[in-house]
This record gives sequence, structure tokens and C-alpha cells, in this order.
Amino acid sequence: METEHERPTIPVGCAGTERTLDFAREVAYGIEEERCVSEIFVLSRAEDIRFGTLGVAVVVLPASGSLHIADLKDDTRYYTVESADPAQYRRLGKNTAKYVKNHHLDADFDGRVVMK
Amino acid sequence: MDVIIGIDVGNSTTEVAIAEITRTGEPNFLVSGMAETTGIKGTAENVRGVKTAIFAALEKMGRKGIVIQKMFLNNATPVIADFAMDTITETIVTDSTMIGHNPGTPGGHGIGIGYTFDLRSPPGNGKDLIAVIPGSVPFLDAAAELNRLDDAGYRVYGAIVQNDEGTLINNRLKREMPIVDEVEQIEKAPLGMLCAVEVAAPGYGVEALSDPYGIAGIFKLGVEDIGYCRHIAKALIGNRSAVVIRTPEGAISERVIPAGSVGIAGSRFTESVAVDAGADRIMRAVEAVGRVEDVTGEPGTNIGGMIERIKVGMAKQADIKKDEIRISDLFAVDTRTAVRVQGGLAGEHVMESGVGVAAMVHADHMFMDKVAAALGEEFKAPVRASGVEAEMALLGALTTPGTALPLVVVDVGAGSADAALMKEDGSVKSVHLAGAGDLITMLIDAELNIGSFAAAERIKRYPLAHVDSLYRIRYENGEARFLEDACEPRYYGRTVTVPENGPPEVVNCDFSMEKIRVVRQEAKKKVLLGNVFRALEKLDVGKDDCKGVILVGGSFLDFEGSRFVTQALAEKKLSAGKGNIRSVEGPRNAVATGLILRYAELLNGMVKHGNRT
Repeated sequence: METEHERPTIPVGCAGTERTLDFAREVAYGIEEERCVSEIFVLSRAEDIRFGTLGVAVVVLPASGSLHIADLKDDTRYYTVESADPAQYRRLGKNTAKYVKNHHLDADFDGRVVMK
Repeated sequence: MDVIIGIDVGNSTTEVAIAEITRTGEPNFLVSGMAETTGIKGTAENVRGVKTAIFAALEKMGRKGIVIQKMFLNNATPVIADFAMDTITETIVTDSTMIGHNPGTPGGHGIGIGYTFDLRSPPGNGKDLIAVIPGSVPFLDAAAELNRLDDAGYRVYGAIVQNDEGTLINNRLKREMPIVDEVEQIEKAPLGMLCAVEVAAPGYGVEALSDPYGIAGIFKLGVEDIGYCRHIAKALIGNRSAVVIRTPEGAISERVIPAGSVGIAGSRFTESVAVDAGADRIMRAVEAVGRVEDVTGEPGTNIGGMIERIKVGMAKQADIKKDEIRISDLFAVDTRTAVRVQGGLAGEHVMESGVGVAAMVHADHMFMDKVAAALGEEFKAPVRASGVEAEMALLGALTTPGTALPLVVVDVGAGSADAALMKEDGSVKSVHLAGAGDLITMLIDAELNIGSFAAAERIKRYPLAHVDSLYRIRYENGEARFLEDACEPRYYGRTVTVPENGPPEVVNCDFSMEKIRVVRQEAKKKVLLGNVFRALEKLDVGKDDCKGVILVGGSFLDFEGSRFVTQALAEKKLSAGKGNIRSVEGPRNAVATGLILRYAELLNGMVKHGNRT
């Protein structure tokens, strides 16, 4: 059996400010609740995304968080959350893990989710 | 240009055909139109739908210089159809408390037994405990408190959590325990009561709590309680996680609503059938009693309520007193329906056996006179409500290439099914049966627990597909297609309906595409095949009496309904297929077309039958 640490990780990049670190933690909690593993790192530039072996990454900037997918053709953002509500970042994390698990995403794509 | 218009107002769709009569007296069909029926069929409100259909048709031909000479309205089969469904097995109504649901990610696994307590106010030490954690307690605090209690020697063996944080809490515990999360109404969980929390390993279902003897063992119940345990166990079967809390003795009350019996009064005799004997048994009685004169349901039972609801609805529709309603046909089908579990705290449902019934009543008056008068006023043209609907459908169906007399036409709309047999001498025999497209939709809605008639209607009409990945969609027939662009997030991992023209729509239910497909197909087979066979029997059609069975009406517009009938009747050596009215309309427009053909025949002073293509 794989151990927790052997499971592939989902990179969660953030701008490094306290606020983005808090939101990145919420994303990580969402990923963890879905029984996936994440790793928070600080992005020096928004473009410096690491996709990891799963081909996905989450980027948390001061006013938004996005799920990025390496397989997308041009812009790799799959969807973006523009919110100051930590619950929205928790959901972004869950949806990221659900994407990796090939489960459908949280259907409540309300006004706070901006389609790419 | 002088035109005549044939109008067919159905329960859900209004269809028109527009034609001119040539010098030789033959109709030259120009265009047809369709609109949603407005108001209840047979009321002046129908005029709006008729206008929309006519204008849609006239739009297609430019509308210039059109003079409406005459309008013919279907003299609607004087029937009102309605349907209802309910459970036939015992309905569980208990005041006990149980949670049986499938949160995506419960915490830990195994079974924990103890007395419930609010994590914010732990009781004195000494008992085995189960923590109840409301949504206001952050998961970090909850985990820290559980660890503190563990250090202090408390024996906490499981937890019930309101938020979706079961895994987050469990990952921070020194000692793993089963945690059931996403419990919406956690405030209703009684405190200080003996409780069992079970979480199965991934891929498994709960074992102890889905077994009556397992529950009896945990709560030390006697043989007299096994019946009660059976209800709880049944509701928990198949769940990944479950909680059962034993409420104090005396607080448990269980009410069993009897399924009841249905009384069918016929021309030969009256028979009463227990509903839990199943739909087949009911239908055998319907056939045996002779001409059905009325149907009643045992008062105070589910079936009593259903028949009452149908009669009240019909009385309103026909504007007559409920006591004057006499049901003239009943169609029953077995089904499964989701019933909300009383005492459940997470919106649990359990599938119960049910029966769906459609009923029909013959009214004394002709509905369409009011519509004809209102239409005449609107269009300033003579309007005649004429022609038996089934006969008009036959005339229209005969324009399908390859048809000849003797012929049966089966017209299944939304509300009822009409069938008619025309022999070579032009004689027509017709029957009107309860149970059609709306009943199919209701069965789909109930069995998949969708809670939306419109969504169930889409499942009925269109094939399914599953969005397997960003760029790949897999259809229900196994075909796969790659998408040019990545699918939108709302579609990812979802089952969708795929209309031929128009965007796919997400099917909001937890069942797999394969299960949804089976439910859809079974519902169609039950209603369509059931009624086609009943119609053939009532019309006394043997394979020698009939050259074909033409299927018309909205229920055969979809991609598979007619196929089921074709297959089933082929086994009985009968050719059955979808109508293609005037070679262009498909199974639509049969009655509207028939109305115009009949007028032309009367104009010519002769009635011809045969292929009219």
C-alpha cells in the first residue's frame, strides 16, 4: 500500500503574503479532506507554476485562486475563484482533488466562480 | 391564397397543418406548425397556443395574401387523464434517529459505540462516548479537543460532524476513529443516548448497522424489536457510513401506512385488489371486470389518496363535481420510489416499492366547442370541431409511405393513448387508454429521485453521455468523441443528456449513466409496450387482421420508444413502426393532417382509403 507521503502531491502556489498563505492553506485543507496530498510553495512570479506529476496546480493570488491544468491548450486556468471568503478556497481545493480523482466538481458554480 | 387549417390541440402540444384545396379538390399541404399547448386542453386558453402554432407555420410561408377559409379542430377524445404514484410497501415513520448517507469522505473506519455528547461540553469521565461536533467548531479545535479528551482518559470511540471535515479531523487524531460528516441537521442529534457510528473501508458498505441482528446486538435489543431493526437496517443498506442513535423507550413510534386496495367496478363484476399484490395483478383485474365503470381506492391508504388526488384533479379540469367523476380506465405499473426517511438527519432517502397509476375518465360534454368559438372570434373564420380524433389520426397515419388497410394506429401523447383499427371497408374501431408520456416521465422522476418533472422529461427524450475527461465524452452506446475544447467545469465528470441540437444538460442525480439508462428504458417499455399490447387486445387485432401498426404522437418522437414497440411486435409477426405523416412530418401532425384530408374527401363526396402519399 502507498503511504500518505508516497501519494503524488498537488502543488499550491501562492504569492507569499499572509493573506494568500491563509487562502492557500484553505485550498490545502480542501485537498486533504478529499484524501489527496498537497504542498504549498511560494511563487516568485504568477507564471512560475509547477504542475507536479498529476498535471494540476492551484495558484492563489491576492484577489483570486485558480485551478490550472497542464493539459489545457492555451491559458492553463480551468476556473478561477474571485473571493475573500475562505470557504471558497476550501472548495477550490476540494474541486482540485475531485478533478484529479475524475469526480464531478462541486456543481454550485455561482457568481464567485469566473469561467475561463 | 385561400387556405384551410387543421388543428390538433393535445395535452402538451398543439399542432397545425395548413393546406390549399386544388381545383381537382385534392389538398395541397403547404406547411405545418407546432407550439406548446396553453392552458388545459379544451379551454379557451388553448387559443394562445393555436395562434402561436399557426403564426409559426405562416411565418415559414411568408404569410402574404393568406386568407383562412376554414379551420378544423380536433374533436378531442373526451377523456381526461391523470396519474399519481405512491409506495405500496410499509412506510417507515419513526421518531428514532438515524443517519445513513454517503458523504464523499467520512473519516477513519470501523465501528464506534458510545453515548452522544456535545464536544463543547464533555460529560464526566467513565462512559464510552461518541462526540457530536456542530459546524461552529473549527476542525483544528475539534481534533485538539478530541486528543485532549483522549489524553485525559476519556473513551471517545467515534464522532458525528456537521461540516465536511471528517478526514481533516481524523488526520489530526492520535487515535483513529470512525467519523461521519456532512450531517446537515446535527442539532437534532439527541445527546446522552447510546449511539453507533460505522464507517466502512473504501469500496465497502456498512455491515453491522445494515443488519437487523447487528443493530439488535449493538443496542442489546430483544426478539420483539427485530421488526423495528429491520426498518433501520433496510434504510442503511449500501451506505458507506451510518449512525444509529437509540432514543429513549417510548419515544420511538412507528406508523405503518397500509398500502390499501383498489376497487375496480366493471360491467361484469367488481373486484378489489390489494395494491401490494403488484401492478400485474391490478391490470389483470382491470381486464377481467369488463368495461371499467369506476375505480375507487381504500380510504386512509396510499392508493385511496392517489385515486382521490386524480379525481380531484380531473373534476377541476373538466369543471364538474368530483363525485360525478367515473374512472373509465386504469393503468398501473410497478416502480421504485425514493421515500424520505423520517428521523434521518442528513436528508436520507430509501427506495421503496411503489405503484404508479394513470387513470382516465370519459366526460359527457365535448371539450372543444369552447375552443372553436374562441378561435372563430380570434381569426374571424369559420371553425368546426369535427372528426373523432382516433379516426383523424388514422387518416393522417395512412399518408405514411408503405401503409395499407387494414391498419392500426396507436397515438401516444402526453396524457393518454388512443388506438384505432381501420378495416378495408373503412369501418373504424377505437379505444382510449390511460397511461402515456407523462406517466413515463413520472416513473423516471420517481425512480431516480430527481424531484423535477422538466429534468426527468429531458432524460426521457435524449440519449445520455458521460464526460469522462476534459476532452472526451462517452455516449451511452459506448461511442466516444473527443472535444475540440476542454469541457466547462460544470460538465466535468458528469452524466449529461445530449439533445441533437442544443447544448448538453447535466443530469443532477447520483446514479451512474448505466443505471439512468436502464431506468429510462424500463419506464418506456412498461408504459408504451403495456399500452400497445392492451390496445391490440381491445381492438381484437390478430396478425391476419392488420397489415401494420403505425405509431404516432409525441411519445414516439424520441430516439428509442418506437424501436421497443417494433421489436416487441415483430416477435408477434406484426409490422410496427413510426409514422411519417405525409412523408415529411415523422410521427407528428397525424390528426391535423387527417382533419384536412377528411374535409377534402367530404368536398369530393367520396371517401378513399389507402396510401395517400
